Amino acid sequence: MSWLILSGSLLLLLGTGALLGAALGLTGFILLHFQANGASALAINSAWNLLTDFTLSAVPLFIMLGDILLASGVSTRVYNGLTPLFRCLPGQLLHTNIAVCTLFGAVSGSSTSTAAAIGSVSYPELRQRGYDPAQIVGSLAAGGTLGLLIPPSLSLLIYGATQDVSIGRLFLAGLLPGLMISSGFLLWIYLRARCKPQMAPRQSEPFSWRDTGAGLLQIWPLPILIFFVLGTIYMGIATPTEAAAMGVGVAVLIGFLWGDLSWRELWNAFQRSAIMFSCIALILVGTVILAQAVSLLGLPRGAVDMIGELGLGRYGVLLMVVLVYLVLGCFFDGISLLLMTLPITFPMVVSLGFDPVWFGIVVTLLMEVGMITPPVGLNLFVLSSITKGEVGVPSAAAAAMPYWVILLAAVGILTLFPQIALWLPNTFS
Amino acid sequence: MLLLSKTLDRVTHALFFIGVCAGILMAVMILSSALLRYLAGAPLAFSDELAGLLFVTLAFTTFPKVMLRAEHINLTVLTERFGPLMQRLCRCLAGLILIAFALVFIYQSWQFTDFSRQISSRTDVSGLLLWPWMGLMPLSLFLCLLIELRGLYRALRGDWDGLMGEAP
Repeated sequence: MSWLILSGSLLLLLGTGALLGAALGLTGFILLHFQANGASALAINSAWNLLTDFTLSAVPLFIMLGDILLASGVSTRVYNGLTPLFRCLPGQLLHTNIAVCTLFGAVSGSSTSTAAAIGSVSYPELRQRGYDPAQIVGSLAAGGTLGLLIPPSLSLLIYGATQDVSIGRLFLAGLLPGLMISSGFLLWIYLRARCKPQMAPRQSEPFSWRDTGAGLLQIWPLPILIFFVLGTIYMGIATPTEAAAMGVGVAVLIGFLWGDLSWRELWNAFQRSAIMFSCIALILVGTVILAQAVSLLGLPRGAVDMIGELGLGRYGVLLMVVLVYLVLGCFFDGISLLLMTLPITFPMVVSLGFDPVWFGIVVTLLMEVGMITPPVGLNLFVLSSITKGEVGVPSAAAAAMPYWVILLAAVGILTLFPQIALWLPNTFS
Repeated sequence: MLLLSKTLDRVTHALFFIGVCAGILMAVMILSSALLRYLAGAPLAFSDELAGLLFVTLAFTTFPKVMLRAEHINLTVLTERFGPLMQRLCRCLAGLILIAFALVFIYQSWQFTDFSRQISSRTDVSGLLLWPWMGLMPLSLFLCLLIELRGLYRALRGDWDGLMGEAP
């Protein structure tokens, strides 16, 4: 009966286009009231406990950090600094898109912020130089997804805070898979450009070590920011929340001293980040109410037993979970999907013996896949709007398809070799 | 009626301003505490719990403004494919869902706040009274409720723009 109410309510409520947080929360209230002897009061207690959790305070801070960097024009400088490095490779500046997204991902926790920050700089520049517009957007959409996996990551942060998994371990675990996927993207661009040279214009400027060195020197503040945001966590100097606050402080300094940040822009960035965080927070509230109902009614345990009776085995169950995420990823944005599914999938997968840190990385990868899957792939929409309609969402999705395959292949590789994700956290803890 | 509507907008904007300031204060406080711990060996003892309270403030004080701008996340993949009449019907249903959620949330969070007020519940380290912070929960959802009711009222009078997602 509880499953019927859960699935029926969610389908009905979400099918009307209701606010996601309200729909999830109301479903939770209905379950608590009718199936758990009117225990709705517990939901508010859980919401209060979750929202006063110090760890979760890092979420708005990382959003602020991304918005300040976006407002200060730092992405332009980083892009220009890395441009000379890839002149000699087939595909040239398409590689720069991935490299800059990888670097930006190491200071920004959001996929969409990364895609928007780099896309707004890169698209006009590459378009002017004669690159295929769809290929530019495809590489940017894929590169943007790295912001979600390469630490600091909003997805890993929310996963850790809501499921009580060490965020430091999650951040360490995201590093190698992030670099692996970034290398996969670079390799694909290289191979594609070798087979189809017209996707990039002929090389007009020769490669020069001098220019490369000068370009790399130009981006000196970025490693400092990366140190404050990630180095302090890895070295055990700061908690993720403190590192996020230090990142905000350093980003403001860098923005004023090195970028083009003004007080007005800074205030606008704070406002934008408050709005973005508010969208996530309402879903958090709805999710925590639903999660309270789901755990009180023992639904994940029931799901595990039910699936156990099907005789699928742990990898069969994992495959089902992956398929569910891929399907839902077509309709929900990453963070929403993460929040609404974890109350069921996390206990289910962990009870089957999978490592919670490893599962966090896999789920984040599946979120990344969703970011470039139509019809809701947010990165596709953001970049399509940056091109002012020159590249429509369907063309962007088609161009991002090879990267989609690479991301999915990474899920397979991580399942076969979980040590890729777990080696760093196991070594350093 | 116009005065009430304007008051609602002003209160919403004022709350949003408070929320943004709470976010900034939270960042400054956590940063100061971390720096004080390493530079002076004396962190702010109350920073963790105050950060949590400012986090709640940031979340709840910004809900109404984001609601006013129709920027809260919803699933429109299905409803976008409907005709205008069906879209309006779905939007009204979505409004009723929000109203139902808000009513239950307001009732439960009011009870929660009131109980905290009765026992004068305080934070562990700094001894701050908790109920004023908790009171932001029913207040925020109450404003969201009013904004939604206003949108539905305007829609009934033929003005669908605000309700169908265009920022006022």
